[in-house]
Amino acid sequence: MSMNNDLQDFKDLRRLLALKRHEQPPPGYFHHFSGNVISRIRAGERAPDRAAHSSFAWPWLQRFWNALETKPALAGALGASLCAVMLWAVVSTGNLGTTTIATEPSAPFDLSRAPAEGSMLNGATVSFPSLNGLSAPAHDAFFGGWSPKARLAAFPLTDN
Amino acid sequence: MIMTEPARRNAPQEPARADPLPTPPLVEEEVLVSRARQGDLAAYDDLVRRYQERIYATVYHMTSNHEDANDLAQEAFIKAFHALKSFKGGSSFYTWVYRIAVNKTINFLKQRKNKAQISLDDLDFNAEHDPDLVALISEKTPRRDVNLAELQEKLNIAMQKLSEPHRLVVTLHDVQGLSHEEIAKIMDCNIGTVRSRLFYARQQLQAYLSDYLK
Repeated sequence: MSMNNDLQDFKDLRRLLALKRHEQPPPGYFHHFSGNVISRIRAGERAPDRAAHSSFAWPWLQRFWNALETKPALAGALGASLCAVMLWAVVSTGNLGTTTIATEPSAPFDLSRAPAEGSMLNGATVSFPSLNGLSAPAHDAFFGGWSPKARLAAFPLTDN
Repeated sequence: MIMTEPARRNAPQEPARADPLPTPPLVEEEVLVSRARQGDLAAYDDLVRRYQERIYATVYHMTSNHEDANDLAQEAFIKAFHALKSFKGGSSFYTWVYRIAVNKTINFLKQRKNKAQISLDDLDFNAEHDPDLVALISEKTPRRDVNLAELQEKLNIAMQKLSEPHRLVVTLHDVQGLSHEEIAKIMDCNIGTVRSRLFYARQQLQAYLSDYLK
């Protein structure tokens, strides 16, 4: 190709490209540019140790974060997984409701009496409030109608 | 440093080029580089001020995004400062910084590939009075209803369709007015490669912008 043909062929295109020279950053932008560069250099010199101890200094976390930033599909999959886990947790909690763990004698747990009865936890009832205000169903669907009951082991407290 | 090709600047068919900044004396640049290498931030500030506009413009035309260009241009200067000890002076400081900025930008664009976002700088006041552009819109462009802002957007979208090396050659030559020789130094390739990439890139752009060109 000859230079003249080149120039002739692309003359209008090059006129159009000249429009890009008129694209300018906001007024005053370059007044602060070098100052920002120098500030960042100074900040980098002052705090190399701080950066080393920050969470982003962990290479695997940095790589993971970069992967999330550059791969929307990965970020979406992670978000969907978290949502699924949350949903499962909510459904499970809803099914369980209030969980009461009771031992056979339903006397309230009294720590001061425990040594006298020879067993520290014998007869104790431990009641947990519902995690979300829901009450437990009569038959626990989650466990197929079988409600688990915790039985605390009773160890005699002796002085020898 | 010579920013344009003197022989071609006066060619009758040549569209007006961007005005190059006044060329700073090389000796003084060497002194500033030497002082900056010893940690003199005031000297480095002076060097940054000399080239900030051209480095920013190159990165901006490559990314079509002001925020990205701001970050990348600053990071290029920061990286250059930390790498000053490895600068042997085989090329000018300007070419060396340019190369750092270009490499940084190309790496960034490879990562960004799937989420290119255009955030264009405003056109300056002179754009509406640029005789070349006025002539192009009123006479040459089949789309008479087009305005400058629309043309700017279409042009940037077309530029983003080019591969990074082709976009870089068009940016450095047709937008910033660098010579083939300077571009070859910056891109670390021979002049023939620069010419062929430029030709191919212009062909591509012409096809993308056929609605706006006669």
